[in-house]
Amino acid sequence: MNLTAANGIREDAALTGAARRGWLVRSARWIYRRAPILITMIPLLALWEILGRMHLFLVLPPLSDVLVAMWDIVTSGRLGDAVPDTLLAIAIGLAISLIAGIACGIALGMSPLLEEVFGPYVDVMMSSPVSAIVPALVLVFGTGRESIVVTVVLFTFFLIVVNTQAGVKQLDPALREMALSFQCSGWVMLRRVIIPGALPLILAGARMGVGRSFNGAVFGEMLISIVGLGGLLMTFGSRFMFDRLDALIILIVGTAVLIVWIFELVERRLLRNR
Amino acid sequence: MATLARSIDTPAISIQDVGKQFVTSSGESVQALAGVNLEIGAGEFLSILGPSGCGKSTLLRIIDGLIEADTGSVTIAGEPVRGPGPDRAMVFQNFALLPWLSVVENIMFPLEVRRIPKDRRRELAEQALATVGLSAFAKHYPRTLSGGMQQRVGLARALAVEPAILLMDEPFGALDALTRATLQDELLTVWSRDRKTAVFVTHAIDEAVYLSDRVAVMSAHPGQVMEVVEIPLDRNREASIRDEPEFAEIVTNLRHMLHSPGVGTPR
Repeated sequence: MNLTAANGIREDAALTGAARRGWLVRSARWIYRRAPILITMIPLLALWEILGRMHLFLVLPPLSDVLVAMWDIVTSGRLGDAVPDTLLAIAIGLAISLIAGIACGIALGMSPLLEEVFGPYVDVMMSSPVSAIVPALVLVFGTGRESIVVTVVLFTFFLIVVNTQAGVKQLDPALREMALSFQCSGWVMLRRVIIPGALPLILAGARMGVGRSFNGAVFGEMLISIVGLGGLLMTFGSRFMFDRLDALIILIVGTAVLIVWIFELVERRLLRNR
Repeated sequence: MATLARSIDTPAISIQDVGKQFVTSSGESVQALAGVNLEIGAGEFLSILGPSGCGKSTLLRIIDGLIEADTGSVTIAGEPVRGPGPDRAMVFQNFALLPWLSVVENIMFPLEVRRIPKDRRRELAEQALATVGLSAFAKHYPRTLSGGMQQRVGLARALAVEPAILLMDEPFGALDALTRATLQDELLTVWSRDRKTAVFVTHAIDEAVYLSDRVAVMSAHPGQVMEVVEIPLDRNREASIRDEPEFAEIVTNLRHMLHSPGVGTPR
């Protein structure tokens, strides 16, 4: 505990120091810290280009072709319809998963009876191949956006439930006892003790959920309605336009990583005092 | 030579024939407490002293209302205890500060639970912080404080609700010897101001002697109060009292009592 405290202080000091020196120094520092991955990435990208030029695999066009295709996709306006479609499905699905998942996770974490009754279902759903159910969703929700949203929910809900539940359960019982001793109960207990105590794992669940929600949305679009980014992937794939396919995959992954990264920043800000 | 125990004829806390059984995870049932009788006077400082596993913390939690006794009863000012109440406040062994709240927010937390208006909350919290000498650390977070400072916050939090009874569960058990001695003196200073009824659980004999009007000595398996010993030392205590032969004698007596057959923890 003392160790982490000391690290925290040192980190804070480093941060304020860097802030004073302006963004140029900060970006230099960022590059310096990322140097290992940046350096190792270069030969990998080179290998991609070389293998691509050797035309060994159909799915692996040269990197330069992929980059050109990426420019094409972005500038041609083809993303104009697809991106809002997909992002909206992700936003709605993720919002549903977060609200319902955190609520269910808290309930399961606090009630041994509920955990006993519903815990096994959550475990089953966590490890079941959700993708297998996705085509069947059409029968219930049709081929519209609803099905995509439900896919996103299926991909993320249980992950968030499990994380929230774990967060509630790892809360130091001494803190709950302290609160009880001061006659804290009900809503105040939930808002001031349980939720803040579970917050680190709730946020971790949300962050992982973001990654999975992209997966879910694209997968749903590919299988169900051939719209959005998933639909675009299907189109490129079925026409063997692998340079465009790869370019689009990189764009999707990049967006997901960017959003996960934003969540990480929020997470760090919310937990900075612990 | 000493102003002896406060008027026991007006007991603040009356513990009658309290028993408590626990079932361990392996299905074994353990008699934590059996037939515990104890009267604690208003304004008295009483320590509950005993080996680990004697149920002294359980007894304290029964007084606080966190745990229900299987048999017997605890009454406070004539009223049976049915749960935690505003007349009692507890100081915990591992401080139990909320790590996501600043020092002043931690002290305000029980006041928020009690629906005290925000301005008044801050006022009370700042008063309590001043009492323990931590006004300068109001905006710090618990992890940046030493153990001793964290427990000062724990004490301030309990004082801020202005309880009639202060319950302390080995509050200095997690601190180093030097810090512990300092905090004992600070506790006595704070307690001397308004002499709340204080129940102090500890397994350190000298600590019990130094702080208390009376010491209830407990034995384990099952947890019982063996004897209640009056501490005939002057109530205005300073650290130098530890060097008096009388102090050493009382400590020795209590040690013999604790080490007599049936008290220890033969497992």
